[in-house]
Formats: sequence, structure tokens, C-alpha cells
Amino acid sequence: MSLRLLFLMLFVSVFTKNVAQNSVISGYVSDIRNGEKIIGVNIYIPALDIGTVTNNFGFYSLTVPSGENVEISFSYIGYKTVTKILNLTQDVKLNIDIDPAIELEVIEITAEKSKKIERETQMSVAEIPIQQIKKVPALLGEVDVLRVLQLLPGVQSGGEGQSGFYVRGGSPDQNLILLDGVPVYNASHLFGFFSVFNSDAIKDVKLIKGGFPARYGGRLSSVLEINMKEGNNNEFHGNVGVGLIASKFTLEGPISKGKTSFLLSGRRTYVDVLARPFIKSEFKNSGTDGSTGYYFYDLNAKINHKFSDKDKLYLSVYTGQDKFYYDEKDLEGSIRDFTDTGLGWGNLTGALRWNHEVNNKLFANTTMTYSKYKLNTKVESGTEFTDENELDEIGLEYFSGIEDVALKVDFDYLPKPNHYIKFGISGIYHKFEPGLFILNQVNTRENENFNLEVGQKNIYATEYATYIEDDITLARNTKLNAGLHLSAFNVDSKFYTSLQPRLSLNQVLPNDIGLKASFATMRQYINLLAFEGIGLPTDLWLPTTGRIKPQDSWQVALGAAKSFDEFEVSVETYYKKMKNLIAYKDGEGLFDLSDWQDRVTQGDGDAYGFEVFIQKKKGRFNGWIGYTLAWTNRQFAEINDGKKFPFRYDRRHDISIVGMYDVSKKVNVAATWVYGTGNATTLANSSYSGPGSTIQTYGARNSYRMNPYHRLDIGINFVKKREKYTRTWSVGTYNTYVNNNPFFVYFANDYDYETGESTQKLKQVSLFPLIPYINYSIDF
Amino acid sequence: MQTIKYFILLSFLAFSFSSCENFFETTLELDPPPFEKKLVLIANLKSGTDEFQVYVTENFGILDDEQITTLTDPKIEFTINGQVFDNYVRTIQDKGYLFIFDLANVDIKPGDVCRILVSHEGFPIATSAQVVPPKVELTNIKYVENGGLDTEGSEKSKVDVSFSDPSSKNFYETVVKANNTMGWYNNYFYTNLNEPGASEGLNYYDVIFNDLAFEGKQKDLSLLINRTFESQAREFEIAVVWRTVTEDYYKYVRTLNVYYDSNDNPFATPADVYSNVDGGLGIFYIVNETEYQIF
Repeated sequence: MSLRLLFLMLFVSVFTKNVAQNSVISGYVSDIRNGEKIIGVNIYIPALDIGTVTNNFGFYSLTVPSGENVEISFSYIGYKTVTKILNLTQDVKLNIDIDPAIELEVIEITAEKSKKIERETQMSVAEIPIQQIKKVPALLGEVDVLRVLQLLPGVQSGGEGQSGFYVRGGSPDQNLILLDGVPVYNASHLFGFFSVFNSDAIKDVKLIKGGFPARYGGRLSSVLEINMKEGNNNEFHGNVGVGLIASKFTLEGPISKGKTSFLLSGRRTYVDVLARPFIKSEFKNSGTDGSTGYYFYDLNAKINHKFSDKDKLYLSVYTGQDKFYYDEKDLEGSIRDFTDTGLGWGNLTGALRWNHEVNNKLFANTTMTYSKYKLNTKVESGTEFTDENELDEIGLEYFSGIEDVALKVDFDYLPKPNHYIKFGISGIYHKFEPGLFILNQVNTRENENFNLEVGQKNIYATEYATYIEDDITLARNTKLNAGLHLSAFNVDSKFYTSLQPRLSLNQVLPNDIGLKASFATMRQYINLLAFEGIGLPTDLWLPTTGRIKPQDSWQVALGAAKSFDEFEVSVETYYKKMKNLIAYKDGEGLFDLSDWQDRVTQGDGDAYGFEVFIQKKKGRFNGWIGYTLAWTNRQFAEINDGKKFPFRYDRRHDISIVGMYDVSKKVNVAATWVYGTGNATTLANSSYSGPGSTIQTYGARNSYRMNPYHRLDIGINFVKKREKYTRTWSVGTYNTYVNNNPFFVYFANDYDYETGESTQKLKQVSLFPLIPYINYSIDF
Repeated sequence: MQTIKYFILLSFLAFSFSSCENFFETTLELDPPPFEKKLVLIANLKSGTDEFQVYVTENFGILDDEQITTLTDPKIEFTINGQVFDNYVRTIQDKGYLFIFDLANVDIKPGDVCRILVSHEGFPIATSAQVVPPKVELTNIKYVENGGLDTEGSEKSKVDVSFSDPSSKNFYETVVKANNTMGWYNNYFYTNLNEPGASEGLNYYDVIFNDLAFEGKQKDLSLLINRTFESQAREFEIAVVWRTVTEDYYKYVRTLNVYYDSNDNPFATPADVYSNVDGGLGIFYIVNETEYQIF
């Protein structure tokens, strides 16, 4: 059956009028404590065996045959189920506030039938409640969303301590990371050791690694949706936390009760502040004045205003910065040298959203977004001639970055219980700054003032997309999500277009095993030009151009899922083919002034594997086991003699075990254990005498395997409720049994001072032998 | 206040638990990566010369400190169009063996197939073959003092040359040379070419390029060199050394330059030097060289 015929049939089935009299139940589902809208609440009518879920803004709509005494239930994991009896003689507007279960009851909540994993059309998706994320032990106690995602099958960490993630053989730039719908281009602090997402400001996290619904586009490998809290609509609350490296605060509350609320959350490291007096003293002892240090900070802010039951406006802003600095100046003498260096990078994102309920079946969300990532490096040094009041100074600055402005309109249309249609349109204006060096030299004695700008011109591009998808219940046990995503990109007077079909199918077998299949094609118009050995803020976002083709992929996945009383089990296998991937040519790398397009090459990749996910959601003991067996390869005509080679993050086995146990209302413990096959890398393995010098040979690209990675983390939270606040002590250890995990390997020349001989050795550097942590926080 | 005391105390205990020395970092020694022992051939044949040298050595593990040869009796076979040439002298040189073939009475022509086979007990057989590249004559040569600018805008002298590129894939290397008339000073000029894809040749002064943009066509080139002043020019004989080279040579030179440029750069991807030796390492190449004296 052709795709066109399929879509025609769907169209006819959607718009055919029902003979029977119907009523529409619609409304919003909120958390009773704070008025936050809840995403993914299951709304179910047992008598009719039909249901739906709330969308990203807590809205639902269900068209059902009219009748009396119809029981409808609202359930969500971690909340008490609400059941209502309705007389459906006309359309009903029903806003529901649901109440969180008492701490130890949380896990007793049962998902209703239609919410069970085997009945969901979407596959390859993971949603982890933020409360669960906060319990997982963290490096230096900094709760990290991205690091928890690395514990899921099909998701890998890059290396020791890194918060970047690799999904089903894709590279980090193939992950679309959305914070309140705004793309975040650099999601890490401190060279990847921490992510930019402050867990106290986050409401929910959802990762899609395959079977992408048509509403998503622009990246090949995954979509990570992170939504910020809206702010408590009923009363003021807050949180203050003190950790080993950072402190944070969150404040939220109503500006106008029930109508307008706000959230403000911040985090900053303070090693630089604590060390400042000691550093000052060190500089002073050496006869200079100066400072050095590093810090990062995040600030999240959100305001939402309810104009009416049908119209709401949200404004959210995120800004975060990393900064290294070093400056030193001689204090004495008539000739005083000085140095001033700095490296800073950061994101600024903003989203203005307007939710409008057009009618009880049609919901519109209009979003205007802004996203900016900028890197700025500065090195200045010189000499002051104090007697003559003269100056000789040279400075070099480097800038790079990306800036986006976007507008999109998304609609949810729920004409019948067996159709959930989403459609929309978007446009993004991109500005790429591929790197600019500014050299500035001033010599007042010679009356010289030299200024030189070397670099590459900014590139401007526009990206458009439109989509339509329908989540269809074809039969009681058969569901289909079919959609089309059309995208276009205009750059360098070249106009690229791509039509991407998406299909997901779910068939529930008589024994309640859900069989799932999906197919998705994706296109990506922007690339991260990264040095594959390390993740640096200097990595450049660059567009498809007249010379560089857009990246394409298709992915097919098959799986099965079943929920038991206390467990959910899912297995999936996938195959992904990627085209026009970008990589540095042999010998090319960072810090080069030549045109980046001359330094890269494009090629193909494939990834395939098998994933198992066993999750226990109920009981005092809960957690999950994830296992991935995977292969990931790359093939570039200009690399490795054109032969296929393993991707650096080709990891044959990846295991994660996460366990959380509520000992009592006051104490909960958690532990994680991870194991991963060692990363692939390229090392010189032999040498020979060439013409004039020794030449090293590398063998095949990425043919050397680093040691396997494994680690155990343990954490305990001690919670005590006081009259006006709840305090939590969190203690734990990262890498508890002190395994020397590889961070990188290198050749070193060891010099023996006694014999005067130098010996070359291969060495492995391991970070974090054992990192204990302690945090103290107060919720009020 | 009590809470702050607890926090400081527990933070102190937390750090005390961890290893004091190299708190965040430990270094371990690893076994070297495995490698296959291979014969290495370095062989270059220049048309018109009387001898052909093949240097045979071996590769060593990357951490092997004492690079003492294990070769005892390498055997070599050199053929041109299938005809075996065995009039060679074998000497031990440095860490390997040098084979010098006498080609005084051999007329090597473009299109001839030259093949080397080297064998040694305990090593895979190493073979390599090259086809003698065509001879491409320069049809016009003209020296212009201060006649051009390089890509950075610096003033250069130039040598304009013309040639007719044969209708096949061809590769060239050239350099401008100064021979002192007094006989005490010979020099090569750093030769530059404003052509797409042109890059440094095997020697620092040479420039290498291919005919991708002008295959089978008449081509004019301007070879840019450092300025020679008239007073100095009188003391020199200026010549153009013009070579047609094999594709393997072109790949070898390009990858060798990338290798040297990136070898000490931790932020560059690793670059392997191209080898056309099956079963071994190294390079066998042939160049067809002509020297044109300008004045």
C-alpha cells in the first residue's frame, strides 16, 4: 500500500462523522499542591476501554459516546488516582487537581490499562521522574539529569565523568536538547563534567531515541525534552542547597494567586571564592597582584500567566556561563609586566509561549524562542613603563558561537478517541560564527597601534519545518502513529528540502505482550565540528553549506514490551543508517585558521544493537537494569583508506543497574553500577625509519580498545520534616570501589635521573579514584 | 550554626576518605598496542639515472627502545615489465640493508611496469609495483623579476611555465633552482603555486599538485619564488626542475606532510603515512625528472 493511500485512508477516517451522539470531555490536569500542569496523565474510561493522555501543557480532550454514570479516572505515577462519575449528555469541561501520594505510597500507584507500556504506540522512549533523578547518586553530589540518562539502554556516556551522551551510535550533535522547547547548544559545564540543567528547576525529562513522531526533526539520533517548572500557583516555596562545589537556590510562588506564578532558580560554584584569599596571598608573596580561578553559574527564570481558562502565557529564560581567568601584574619597579587571560562560554535561551484552547478538541501552542551559545577566549600580555607612562601590549581574542531565533506553532487536535492528531509549522533563523581571531598590539613608545581580524565570516541560514502526525487506534489492540515531517534549509543560495515519513506500530498480543515496530527518517542541517578525543567548548556549530551536505538517517526498530505486577520489561533491536556525517580529515584538528570546509570530510555510519530494560516502579525497592549490545561504525572515503572503522564510542556491552530503597520516611538509599566496554581509539603501534626521520604507524582507525569502564556509586538521603521546612542531608560516594577507569591514554617519556635514560611508556590517566560527596538542602 | 559545623566536619571527612595524593588523577602503565612485524621498503627510481636504491628495514613496536635490526638475509627481486634484474650490490646500512641496482644499460620508458618483491624469514612478503609516469615537456619558460604576489600579498618573482597535460590522471612536482655560476653555492627557492590543491612537495622547497582541474588541457602556471635581485641574479643560473610523478608518490608526499604537521599536535586527528607496499610498509615511487635552465 502506498504511503499516499495510507494517509488518504487516515484522513477519511478522521473526518467521517459519527452517527452516534458524542460528548467531549476536556480540561487540564494539575498538581494540587502547586497548580503545575502535569504531562502524560492517563485519562481512562474503563467501561469503554478508551483513554488519552495530557499533552505537554496538561491539556486533554476525549470524545466519547454520550451516556450517564460514566466513570472516568485520572492517574499518574506518584499521584493518587482520581475517579469521577459523569453524566455525559453534553460536552464537559473538567479540570482536575491530583494529589501526590504519601511518600511511601508513591510506588503503590498502578498505571491504568491504556498507560501500560505494552499499549503505548511510541517506542524507544524514556521518561524518568525528576524525584527519581534526584535520588540517584551523583558526582560531587551535583544531581545531573544527563548523567542519569546515561544509565538507560541505548544511551552512553562519552567517558569518565562526562555528562555528554551518545544515543544508539550517534554523536552528541545528533541529540536535540530542548529546554522548554528551545535548543541548547552546549549542555555542559567544566568541559563536560556537569550538565547545565539545574535539577531544582526541572519539572520533567523525556528522551526519545528512535521511532520519532513527526513533530520532531532537525537531529538524527535523539530528542531530549526538558521542561522547567512553572512556579507554584498557590503559595511561596523554595529550596536552598549547599554542596561541595556549588550552592543553589530556588524560589517559586504566586504573583497573583491562581493566575500568575514565577520560578527563579540559580546555582554557582564557589571554589574560586573560597580560594581567593589564598591565591591573593600567593601572588603577593611573589611580588605581584593577581587572581586566578574558575566558576560556573546557571540561572533559570519562568513566569506564567493565565489570562483565561483558554489562554496562558509562559516566559522562560535560562542563562549559564563558565569562566576561567588568570591575571597577574607586577607591583614594583618601573617596568611592570602584566598578563590577563580568560576563557568563557555560555548559553542564553528564552521562550515565550502562548497556549490557546481553540475549542474543546483543538489546542494551539505558539512559541517564540531565542538561543545563543558563545565562546570567548582572551590572552593579553604586556609591559607598563611607569616612569615614562608608556605601554607595550599585545592581545589576542577569539570568538565563536551560534545564535537562533525561531517561531513555531503546534496544534493538538483530538477529533475522536481513536485519533490524536498533531500538526504544526516552524521557522528558525540561524546565525553561525565559525571563529574570529582579533589581534591587537599597542606600543605607545613606538607610536604603534596594530589591529588585525582573521577568521571566517558569519554564516546565516533559515530552517523551516512542517509536520502532521496521527496517533490512531486501529483496533482494540492495534495502534499506529503515522506522520510526515517536511523540512527545508536555505543557506549559501542553496535550498535543501527533505520529506521524512515516520511510522510506529503497536500490536498487543492476547497474552498482553506488546509488539512494537517503528521506522523514521531524519535530516540534520547543522553539525558540531568536534575534536573526537575530547569535548571542548571550542567545538564549533556549523551549518550545511553549498559544499557540506546535510546529514541524513533512517532507523528501524522492533521491540516487545510487557508489564507485570511490579515490573516492566522491554526489549528492542534497532538498525540505523547515517549519511553525510562530518569528521576532521586525517591530521586536521582544532586551532587552524584555514577554511573549516577544507578540513572536514563527509561519510557514512551505521549502528545496530539490542537493548533490554527491566524496570521496577513499585514497592519500597525500585530501580532498573539496562543492557545494550551494540555495534557502531563509520566510513569516510578520506579516512582509514576508505575502510569501515568502529566509532570512538562503539561499545559492545553497556550495563547499568540502578537500585533505590526507601528504608523509612526519613532515609532512602540508592546505588548504581555501570559497566561499559572500553572506548575505541587510535594509537601508534609501530614505527620505522622513514626518509629523514622515524615514522609511526597507527594501524586501522580506532583499533585500540581502552580498558573497560565500571563503577559503583552509593548515596543516602536523610530527610527530616520540621515545622516550617524539610531538611535533607545527602551523602555518598562516586566510584566506591576505586576502580581506575580510563580517561585517556598517552605515550610518555619517563626520564630516569639516576641512569640518565629515557623510556617511552603507554600510560592511562584515570580520574576520580573515590569521590565522596555531601549536600545539605532545605525545602520550605 | 550547628548545621554549618556539621557540614564543614562532614566535608572534611569526605575528602579525608579519598586518596590524598593525586586526588583527582592516577596514572597506570599499560601494555603497548599489538602490531604486526613487517618489512619496510624505501625505494625511489628516478628516470635517467644509472642506479636504483632499495633500502630494506623493518618496523618496531612503538615502545621498543633498542631498535636493533633482526634482519639477517633479506632477498630481493626487481623486475621491469616482468624481466628480472639481479645485478645489485647489497650492503648493511644503519638498521637495514641497502640494495643498489645497476641500471646503466637499462632504458626505462614511460608505461614500463617496475615491481619489487622482498622476502625474509619470519616476515610477510613485501611487494610493490609502479608504472613509470609519462614525460611531460615544458613548452614555455619565462622568468619575471618581481612579477607576482603570493596568497599573503607578498611580492615574489615568478617563473611562468606552460605544458600540455596528457589526457589521463597526472601528478607533478616542481621546484625552481639556483646554481651559482662561481660553483660554490647551489640553492633551491621555496616555490609556491597559487593553484587549488597545490602543496609542499617531498622536499621543503618543492611544490606538488595534480591535474584534476585541467586534465588533458594546455596549462600555464606561475611558479612564485623569493625575489632575486638583479645584482644577485647575474651570479646564478636559474633552472626549473620539472617532475611527473606517480599517484602513489603524490599520496605519500601529501600524507607525509600531514603526518609531520600533526604528529606533535594533541588536538589533531592521527594521520597515517600512505604506503603502497603490500604485506609491508614504506614506499616505492618513480619520478620522471627534467631540468630546464632559464638563464
